[in-house]
Amino acid sequence: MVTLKVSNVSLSYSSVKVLNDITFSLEENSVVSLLGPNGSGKTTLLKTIDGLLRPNNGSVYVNCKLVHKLSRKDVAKVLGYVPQKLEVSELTAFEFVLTARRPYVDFDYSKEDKRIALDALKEVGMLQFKDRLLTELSGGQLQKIYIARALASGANVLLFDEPTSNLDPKASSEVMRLLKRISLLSNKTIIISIHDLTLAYRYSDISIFLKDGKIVAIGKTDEVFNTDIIKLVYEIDAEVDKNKKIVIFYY
Amino acid sequence: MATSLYNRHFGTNPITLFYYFSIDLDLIILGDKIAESSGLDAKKFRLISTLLLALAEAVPTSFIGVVPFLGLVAPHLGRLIVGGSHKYLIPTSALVGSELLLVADLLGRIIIMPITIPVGIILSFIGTPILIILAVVRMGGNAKSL
Repeated sequence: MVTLKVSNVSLSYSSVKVLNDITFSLEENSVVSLLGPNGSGKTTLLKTIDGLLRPNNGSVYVNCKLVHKLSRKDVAKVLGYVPQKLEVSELTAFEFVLTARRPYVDFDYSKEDKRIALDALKEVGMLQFKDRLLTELSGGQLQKIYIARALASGANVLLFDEPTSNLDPKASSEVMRLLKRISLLSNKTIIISIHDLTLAYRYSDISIFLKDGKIVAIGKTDEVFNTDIIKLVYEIDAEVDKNKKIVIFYY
Repeated sequence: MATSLYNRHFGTNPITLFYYFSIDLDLIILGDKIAESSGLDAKKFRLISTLLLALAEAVPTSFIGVVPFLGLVAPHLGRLIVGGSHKYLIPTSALVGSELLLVADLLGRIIIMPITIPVGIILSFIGTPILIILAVVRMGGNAKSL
């Protein structure tokens, strides 16, 4: 079943075209990698999908509903966006995850909201850190807490902007494995903007290569990951080892 | 007496409103992007909360005058006690602030009796070292996390 449909989306910052006629649709239970060099429009596309930016042309549909016609509260119920960098406040991990329930509350969180937040923490294996302040957590732990928050929002399309950018290789693969598991178990569509091609190759079902705001290639990861496309997008020689599932760059 | 009580209550009412917005305050501190993606209109909320804050500050100040450091020290101490969640921070800050004011007023009346030292001067003496200590503690914490 199609959960997300992006149709002919174009967006410009003043006179610079950042997204140019982007069209694709995604089904549930899939991990999607959004790939491309810096400035290719990955973050702008994620923000546009989440309705934080309004496209000049085109439209975004989630569960057949036009995102830009929905209220912010209703968008938050179907789309969960995790930015690249969050301001770390002095909330505990549990309090932070609980803020994802904001679209569902009028005045205070219900018992159900608290249960959902605890379940989300349990799902990402961070329940034992629930009373820790965010300021006391490592980068990898923080990223898992962000994932728990996205889960607690109840949205079925989750957007992650470079979740592995500040993590060591072990933590990065743990985060990607976790996202893959969530997409399979919880029927979520997960879109991840990512620079690490090996991680994208290993853990994503679908890959979208962007360059200068345009889609260069889109399709099943095994099919679109090849040296020609990587050379075209990143302007660097690379080798895709299909057996070891790694991408090697020749700098 | 009744008018005076009414005035005092009117002065504290905006705090109740801020308590109502405690979830939104938690969100806005995390940044506009995360606040908006959680269903909050960040710009509108900033405007409304700034206006409310101006009201919350202006009304009591117009009745009792300027009290330096109280608004700075009380929330910081409150944060040390209950953490950053505004649901607990707002009432705790109100309690800590009123206790600080009471202590400062008491000290001002008894230090060189029968002369009364203005509460603002006493609060400056209490508030300045507290703020310096808090700043040093925070810097120490940041250095540790680096």
